[in-house]
Amino acid sequence: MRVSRSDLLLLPVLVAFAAAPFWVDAFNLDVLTTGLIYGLMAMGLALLVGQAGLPSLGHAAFVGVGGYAAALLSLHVSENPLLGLLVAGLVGGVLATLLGVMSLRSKGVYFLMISLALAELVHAAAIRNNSLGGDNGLSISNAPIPLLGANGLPRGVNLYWYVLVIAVVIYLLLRLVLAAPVGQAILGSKDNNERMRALGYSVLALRMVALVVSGVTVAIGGALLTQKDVFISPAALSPETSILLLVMVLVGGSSSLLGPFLAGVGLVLLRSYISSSLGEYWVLVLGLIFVLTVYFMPQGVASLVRWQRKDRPVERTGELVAH
Amino acid sequence: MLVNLLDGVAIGGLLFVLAVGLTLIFGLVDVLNLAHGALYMVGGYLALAITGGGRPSILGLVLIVLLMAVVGAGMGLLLSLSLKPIAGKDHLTQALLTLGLAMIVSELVLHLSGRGFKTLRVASGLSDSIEIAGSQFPVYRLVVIAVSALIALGTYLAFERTRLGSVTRAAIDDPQMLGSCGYNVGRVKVGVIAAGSALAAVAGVLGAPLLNLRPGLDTEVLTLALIVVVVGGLGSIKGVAIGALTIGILQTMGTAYLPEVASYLLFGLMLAVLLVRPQGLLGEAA
Repeated sequence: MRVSRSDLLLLPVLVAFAAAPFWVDAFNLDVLTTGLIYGLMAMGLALLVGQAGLPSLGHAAFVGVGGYAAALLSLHVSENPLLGLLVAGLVGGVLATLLGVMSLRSKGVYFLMISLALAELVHAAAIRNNSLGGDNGLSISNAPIPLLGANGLPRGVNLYWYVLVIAVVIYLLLRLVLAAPVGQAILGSKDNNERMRALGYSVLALRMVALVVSGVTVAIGGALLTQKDVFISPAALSPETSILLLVMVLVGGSSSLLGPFLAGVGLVLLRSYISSSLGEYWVLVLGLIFVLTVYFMPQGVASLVRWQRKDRPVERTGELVAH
Repeated sequence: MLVNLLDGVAIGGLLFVLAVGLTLIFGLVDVLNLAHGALYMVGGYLALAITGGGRPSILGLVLIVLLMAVVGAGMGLLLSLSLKPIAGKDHLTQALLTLGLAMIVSELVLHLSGRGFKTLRVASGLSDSIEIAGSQFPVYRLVVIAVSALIALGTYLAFERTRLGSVTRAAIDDPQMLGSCGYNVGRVKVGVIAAGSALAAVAGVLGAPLLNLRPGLDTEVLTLALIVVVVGGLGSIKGVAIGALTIGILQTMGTAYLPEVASYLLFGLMLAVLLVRPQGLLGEAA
């Protein structure tokens, strides 16, 4: 991973985020924590949409399995939050593999359809399964957040910093993946399938890697949501969640990680603001944002990704072939 | 056992009416219409609003079904208008647009009608049960089976055996040739979207007494229709029929005999079919 000069500009942003507990009240800090989690998940989806060219309409499934895995672990095995993230990531990876096996050999449009269907099946399973609490969901205990030990600060503040640290770590990990040969090959498989095949790459395997990385990331986000709310219910994995995540990626620009991250934070803040003033009209607003995003994309959503990539220096292509 | 099987056939018939529109619009117009579930929802809730919660007569039900076909076709026209600005774009763009529209439409429907569980009462004269193989079976479900079989036969004949059907198929196979024969290709495509949407709204009326009207119904039925199409194979009417019956029967039997695992059965079926045939049972290889 190369650190560029523009990365230095990120430092003040990071400092501003880290200092948020000092200038944001408890309610808004809670909303901001949710925003960070959605931002993290949006990065995971952006990797899949932007780098591998696989638009998923069903990432709520990963939010759900991650969230329920963390809840079950906390209830029955261990209350260690980090262990919760680990297990959630594993379960997310397994589900991503299953989705990949089902969808990646078919035509592109099947991926849209199958991901959407998968999310709704997981949603239905969560509602109907009594050991998952059915419609009422699962509540877990208010476990301490491991960061600074028992420091006497409110849970909300510790939680915020914990989520921020995880989000930064995941951002760095995703950048590592993208900069690694496999990340470059994934991008290559989207831009030029045939050439990657001729170079001896398995396009199927590359897509599978992207899907698993994305599924693991979003499942970890789901676990964080459960740990933050000490609660998960089927409502967290309704189709609305998948759509919200995709809107974040599209608004933020799917070829970057930080764009979707910031769009994630922003849209959660917007949702909080609209929900408190307009209540249930939020879904209508989300639908409108969605429709307008589609209409005002210059060449359609998928080509927006290509359109942005043209700005990149040409040497990038040479680098890609060298691997 | 036989009664459960018949129940499954009724649900399968309903799924056919719903999913055949989805597959025709995809196969002939190349649009993945994710607003299909919302059209179903509009059909069901409007029928409920017209009856005012009362029991319609058989004639009333027939009129409502015909009216919903017209309403659905009208919404299909609006849908093709809204797709115009993004004509020629990829499937994702269409899918996102139709999904966004579906969110708006179903949210408006719920806002106008309230969010509780509601059900459309079965028409008087169809609300009895008859005895089949020693068990009681609702007459209305037999009607659903008969009506969906008729619709299936009608769609098959219309698209495979008539001049209108061959013109429609030509619109995707060779639009230029069709155009030079004097047909308006754009109008043919709009016609297909209108017909498919009409079928979805009709399915909404037929299905309302079987599946409760409730929030989330649009995505639920959309998911079922997508699974039908994925399992049966995109763009094939026979594939939709086989997929719809399989899923209707599997789901009904599963709920009756294996309630704990019923919600995973559809997932398992989809996984199994796609492992063996990624293009679906009757789909053409990519």
